[in-house]
Amino acid sequence: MNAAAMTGSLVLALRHLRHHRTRSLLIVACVAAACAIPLLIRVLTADFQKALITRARATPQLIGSKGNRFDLTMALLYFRQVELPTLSFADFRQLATNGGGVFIPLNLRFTARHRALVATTPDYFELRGLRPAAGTLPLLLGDAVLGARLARQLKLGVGDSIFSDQRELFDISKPQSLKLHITGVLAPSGGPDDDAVFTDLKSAWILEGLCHAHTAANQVPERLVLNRAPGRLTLSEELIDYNEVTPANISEYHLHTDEAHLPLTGLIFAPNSQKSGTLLRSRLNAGKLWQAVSPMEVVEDLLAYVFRLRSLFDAVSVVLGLLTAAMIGMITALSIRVRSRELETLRRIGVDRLTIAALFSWEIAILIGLGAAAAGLAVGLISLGAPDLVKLL
Amino acid sequence: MNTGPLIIGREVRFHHGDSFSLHLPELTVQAGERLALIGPSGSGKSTLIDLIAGIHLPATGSLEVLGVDWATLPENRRREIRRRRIGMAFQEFELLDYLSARENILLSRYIGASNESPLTLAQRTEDLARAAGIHQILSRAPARLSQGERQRVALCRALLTRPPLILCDEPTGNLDPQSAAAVLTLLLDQAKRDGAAVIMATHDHGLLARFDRVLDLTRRSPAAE
Repeated sequence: MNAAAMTGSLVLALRHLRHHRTRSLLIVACVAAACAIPLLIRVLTADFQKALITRARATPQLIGSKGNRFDLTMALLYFRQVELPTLSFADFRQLATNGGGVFIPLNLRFTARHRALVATTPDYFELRGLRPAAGTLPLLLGDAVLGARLARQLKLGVGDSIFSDQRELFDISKPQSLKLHITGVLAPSGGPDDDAVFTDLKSAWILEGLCHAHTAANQVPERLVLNRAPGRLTLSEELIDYNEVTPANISEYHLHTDEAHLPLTGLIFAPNSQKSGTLLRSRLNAGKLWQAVSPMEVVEDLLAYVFRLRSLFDAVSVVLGLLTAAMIGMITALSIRVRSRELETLRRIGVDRLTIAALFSWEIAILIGLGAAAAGLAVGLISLGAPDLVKLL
Repeated sequence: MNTGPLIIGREVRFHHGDSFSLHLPELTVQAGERLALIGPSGSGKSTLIDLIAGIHLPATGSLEVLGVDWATLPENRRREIRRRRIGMAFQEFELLDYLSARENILLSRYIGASNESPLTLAQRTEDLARAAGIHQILSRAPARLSQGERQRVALCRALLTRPPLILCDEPTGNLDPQSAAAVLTLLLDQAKRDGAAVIMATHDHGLLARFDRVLDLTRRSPAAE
């Protein structure tokens, strides 16, 4: 077979594939799926693994009430909204008094615009290395700072405000949502902090209904006043839409309970030494109230499940690949049978066997090549968005 | 340069099972000669075309075509000679449905049947199509052509590389008399211009007057007109 016949067979293959474009596209789609699925699983699990391990490595220990250690880890590391038994601010005080390292309290029981509302102390920002790209960290009650991606998505910045989500919309005895003043936007960190709203612990307790201010009679909005008489004020039944900490009322806010009733989701513990970490951990885990977990150990256990699942997907992918190869083989065999008249014509006019073989080989190569290219493109595009996808996992 | 007969056959015998046999004691075709093969269905017209094309080999006897004895050549070599030096046309046209009319004519280029440049072949395609009156439908797919147009495309395909021998197996069999006459005119005129010999199997006795010689296979022996 000469070069002209080689090129010519390519042209014939392309023309044939174009003529039967529906069939060609179907095969390309099958090949693409067979190539892309295992690749995607690899890419996503690799990113998932990387994201989990990076975050776990940067977090020494987690402390919470006794319960599911996976839930505790996913909540405190990734701000996943799971119902966890709480511990109290008094517990935090007790642990912190014993020393051995830095304890960082977290209240993750609320959301703002459906994103995690993380109520914590400045130590959290120190531990994670979070710095404001604009403005300042929350300084006053009712202040908030936004993660970089969240600020970009919601188009919010310093000077704007964000409302916490109302948990009990139809229960008027529950606290209203809180209007938080945005004082800063964090620099991107590449982790879940980019999607969270940060505030101080006391602001979370306002949302718990454990901290409030009394409004002076002369500061009640006139629209709510039905009757004003000396020593007596009659208010309408109209609901107050939301709470807001303002310069006028900030000094009025006060707690209505003791520290033993101020809830926390958990604590991050950064021990001074490995020894102090081990000692506290064994002491807490031996007790009945609290648990201390190493995020790395939990993540390794979690990844073991993921890898087992990935092995299953790999097996499915091999079967899918074999089925696709068999399908291409069958379609080619069927095509040879359907095209027997065309092949006979080619034989009669003297086309050699190699050129006919090249014609079919080109067709198969083009279909596989296009399928692989489509798979590569899909995997490439999805890889670019992999961090967002991992966030969904 | 070979100036002798284009085809020399001696005592050519071919069998297909017990039911069919062909015997040609002698066959000679000169360059540029126009030979018609006639005979009823099953008389061996198509078989003789295939023997001359080297698709089948005689069971006995010798058949020399274009200076070579087919029996001495392997299959791939026979295919190469057929591809490069013999033009073929069929009753059912046998166009490739996924190519346009132009690409069907240019098939020789895609199968490595010609050493001429693509430009030359493209120009030859245009010239042939114009002569055949199909130059305005070259971009159409075969499915959108009439029977007569398809056969003219098939003939242009056979004529593209100016082969010295053109074999046609009842090319007018599916055409109305007017189209058949037009197709035959195209074939014979172009062959004469290129100095090619034409061997055509046909049932249409009305066309025989335009051939130099007629071989009647009814008795399976040559009979000169």
